[in-house]
Amino acid sequence: MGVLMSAIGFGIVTASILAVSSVGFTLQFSVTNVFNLSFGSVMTGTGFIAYALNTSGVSIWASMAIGALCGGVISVALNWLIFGRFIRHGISRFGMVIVTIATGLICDNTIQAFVGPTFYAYNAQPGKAFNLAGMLLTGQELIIIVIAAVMMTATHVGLKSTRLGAAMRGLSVNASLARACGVPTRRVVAVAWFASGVMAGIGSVALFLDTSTFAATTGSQFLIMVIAAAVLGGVGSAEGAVVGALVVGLATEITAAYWNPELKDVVAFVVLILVLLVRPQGMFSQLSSERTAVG
Amino acid sequence: MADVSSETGAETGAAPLLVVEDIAKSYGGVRAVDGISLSVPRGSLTGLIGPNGAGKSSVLGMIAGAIRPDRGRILLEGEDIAGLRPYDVARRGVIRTFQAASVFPQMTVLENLLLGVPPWDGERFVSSFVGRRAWHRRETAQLEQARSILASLQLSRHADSYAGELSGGQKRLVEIGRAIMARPRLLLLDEPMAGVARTLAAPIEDLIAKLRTTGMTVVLIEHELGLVERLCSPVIVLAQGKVLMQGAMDELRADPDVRRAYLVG
Repeated sequence: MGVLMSAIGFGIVTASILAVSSVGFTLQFSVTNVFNLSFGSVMTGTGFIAYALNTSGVSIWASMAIGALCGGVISVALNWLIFGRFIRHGISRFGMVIVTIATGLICDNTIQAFVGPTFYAYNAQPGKAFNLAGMLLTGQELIIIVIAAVMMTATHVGLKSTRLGAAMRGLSVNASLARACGVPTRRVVAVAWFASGVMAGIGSVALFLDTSTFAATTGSQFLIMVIAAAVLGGVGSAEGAVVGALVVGLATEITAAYWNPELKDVVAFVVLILVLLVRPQGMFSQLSSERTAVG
Repeated sequence: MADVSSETGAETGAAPLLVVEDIAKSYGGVRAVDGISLSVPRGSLTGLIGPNGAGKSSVLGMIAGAIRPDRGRILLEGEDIAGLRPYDVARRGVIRTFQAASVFPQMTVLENLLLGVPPWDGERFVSSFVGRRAWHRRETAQLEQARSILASLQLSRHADSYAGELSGGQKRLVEIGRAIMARPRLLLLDEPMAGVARTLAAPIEDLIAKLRTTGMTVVLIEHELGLVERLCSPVIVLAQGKVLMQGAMDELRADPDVRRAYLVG
């Protein structure tokens, strides 16, 4: 029982990190219809920006906030400089996936050229440990859970209760109709990229804190779990991504506790393949497969 | 019916609201629109008819900004809007509906109507958080307007239903309601009766007729000529990407070219 509760505790932390990341991934996809496989590289980049700040004496949480804002800017810049141009040229959906993979590789290798193949760690203390119903969680982990909960609530309220959220939902369902209604597509798309980058930034710093050490490819390696959570919930659905994150987070940590920690990614892959086999549209997605990319 | 009067002013004899000058559009080697010029009088309900492939929807798409013309000018009160993005055209007060009733299916009927209303301050990232009170006050007024329009469309009880759950005719009403919410200077209706059950055809016709009395300028594409005759003046006939004739419906019926191109053939 102790092992199980402990695994559930770790699972909730992993799920929190996954939730922030996969909601960022899926929110941007729902608005733009770009399956952005460079998302992991944005995570890595922002993680290292936070590292630079943190090792300069900035607190880890302030570094996370600034890194997240930088992630938003990087994300908008990638769309402005690369993705948007391809979309306006009418690239196919598959072609766009290749472009995002190429962009991710360029980013990862550029980061690696600067930071080298070594591992890094933030200058942050995990804090006092708390025993919550058998789950041993550090202060740092509790803060990550709270940040994720706040982010998810803000995203839900933002999407459901603001004009910006309505515009995003409208754009995700029918971009032509949204444009005809006067929704300023480019502005809303830019906001979606920015929000996605911010969440990538928060997710990356939380991940790198959780894993203790990180390298130039840690973000891209984590991407498979992000995609598994997003696909499980239904790509394009923020609520689905949260549920998917919980399932993947708990499944991977329980596997690690009872079986082998090396099999975490295998579990994520198995979840991904099972979902694609049984319910390819995921649990919550209502997006049409006929949508085109919006830049 | 809710107050839907647009800011057009429906003065008779005033300069036309919309002037289309020599627009053309080709798809591949096919010339869909071949030098069409027309004008839409302010406050009129102008009919646009013609056989399939005449170029009606292409013309409407070009006016709405969805299609970029190969050449020509589209003057809205003197401003050339040809080639502007659809949302820029919409923000200038040109609102369109589509052949297939277009709603946001996963949004409520009320949300569908509210998404059609400018201004869009609440959509800006910063003003989603800052200045909320100012735009929230405007949105409260818009909410009242939306409820009023839904009442006039007899859709009040569906206000909180998802638009995707409505019938085809009800979706069409929501679409027109959303367009009215924007208080357009020019409303473009693309076959509003397509796919609508007979029971809802009459209310939609009444709604369009009422728009005319508010002074709103409307362009109506419709295959149902009886409806066009009852509602529209003037009527413009297109055939093979060109304007064949313009006038009252009885004049058009009497014209042998029109009969050959459309009414008979």
